[in-house]
Amino acid sequence: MTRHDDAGRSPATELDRLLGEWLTDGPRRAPDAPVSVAIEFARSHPRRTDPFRAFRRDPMAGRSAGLFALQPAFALLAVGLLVAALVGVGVVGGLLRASPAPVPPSAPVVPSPSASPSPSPSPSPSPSPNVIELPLTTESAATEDVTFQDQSLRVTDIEDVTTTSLGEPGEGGLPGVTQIDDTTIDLLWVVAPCTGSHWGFVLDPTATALAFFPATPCEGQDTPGFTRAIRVHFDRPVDAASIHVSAATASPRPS
Amino acid sequence: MSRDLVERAARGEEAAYAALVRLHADRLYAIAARILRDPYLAEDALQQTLITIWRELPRLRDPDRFEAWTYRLILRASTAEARRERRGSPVRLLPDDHDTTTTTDDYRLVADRDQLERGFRRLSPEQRAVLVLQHYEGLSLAEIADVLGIPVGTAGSRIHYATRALRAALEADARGSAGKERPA
Repeated sequence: MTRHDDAGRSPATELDRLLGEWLTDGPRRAPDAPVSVAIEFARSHPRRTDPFRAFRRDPMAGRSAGLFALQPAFALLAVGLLVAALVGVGVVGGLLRASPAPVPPSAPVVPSPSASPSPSPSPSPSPSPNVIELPLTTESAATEDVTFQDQSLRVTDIEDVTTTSLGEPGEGGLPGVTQIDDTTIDLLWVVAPCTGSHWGFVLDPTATALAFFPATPCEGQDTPGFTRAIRVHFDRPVDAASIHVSAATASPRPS
Repeated sequence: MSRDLVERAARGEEAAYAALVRLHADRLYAIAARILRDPYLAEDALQQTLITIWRELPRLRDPDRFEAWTYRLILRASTAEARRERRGSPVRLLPDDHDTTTTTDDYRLVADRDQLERGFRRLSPEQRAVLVLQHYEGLSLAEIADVLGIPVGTAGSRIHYATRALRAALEADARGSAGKERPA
């Protein structure tokens, strides 16, 4: 016992008809309370300008939209940044390979039997930086104590990130590195779980690189990106200007 | 008009947001009430959805997609409320502000409605949602797929399984009733 709807799109059964009639009954008018609460919420929470708006995904973009879920101009910018980062990694990698390897201070200096110096020192690969990968789960606070080689790091979430602090130096989506004091820097950037992108902070090319992965799994196109601001404390002086920032795309790490 | 309101609300105009909310609240509440079968849960789902609209509206690139987006939000809020409710208090019935039995004295129709109520409650929130979109909102398969953000084939499959689950629930209910009526 089937019928077709007016548009002739799909057959309907007796159950469909009963279900349609049954669902027609019921409340049609929303109570006032939730509407009033929502309007009051909007009044008490005026919308601030979001400097990272262009990097938020369109909530109605398809799952496969990827970068195209961003504003078009910024999708192109993101692609450009990616290419620039890859080129930058290549250049830095080449420079690192060309630089002489550091000599351990405890190593005895043995004079070479041949006194004549070599006209061009043979390049030797420098040690790869220790990559400390920190999964970032949520916006909640977390503290990581990281030790490597002869120094230690303490990574602390910054709880109070104000809108003004978002404007610099992370404006435009680039991760920001701010010198706080001789041994402390702030890192600020946007985590976009569904793009799989992560930011890398090479703190010292011969010693340490921090790579922050969005550990929050992509739960559909509405998974919001979030701003991350962390403070890194060193036990020795660090110069924010010397820190190299790069962006790359990788599969998000399992949480 | 709605497009203009959406654009102005996205820019942060509270008056436009208020007008937009009043324009769409009834539709969203009706959907939530039919999925959840509980006016209080539906109220919570509506409130959550309206606040999410204010927070997330600037991210919506195409204002013409507003309605589909709000469908998605209310479904998400409703399924979340349903899951929360399953862990908590028992289900409450819809208020009697609408005559669910109509004016007919056809006992069979009343029985159908009671059976449907019981059978529908046995479905998962996701299954209820697709049936409400199809049979109450009258959305086409393509529109349902768009709202849910899934391929059309998957949407068709979801509706098929939801209908099958409802039919099975009704049959089980009928068998139970027949067993109770049978003399010992």
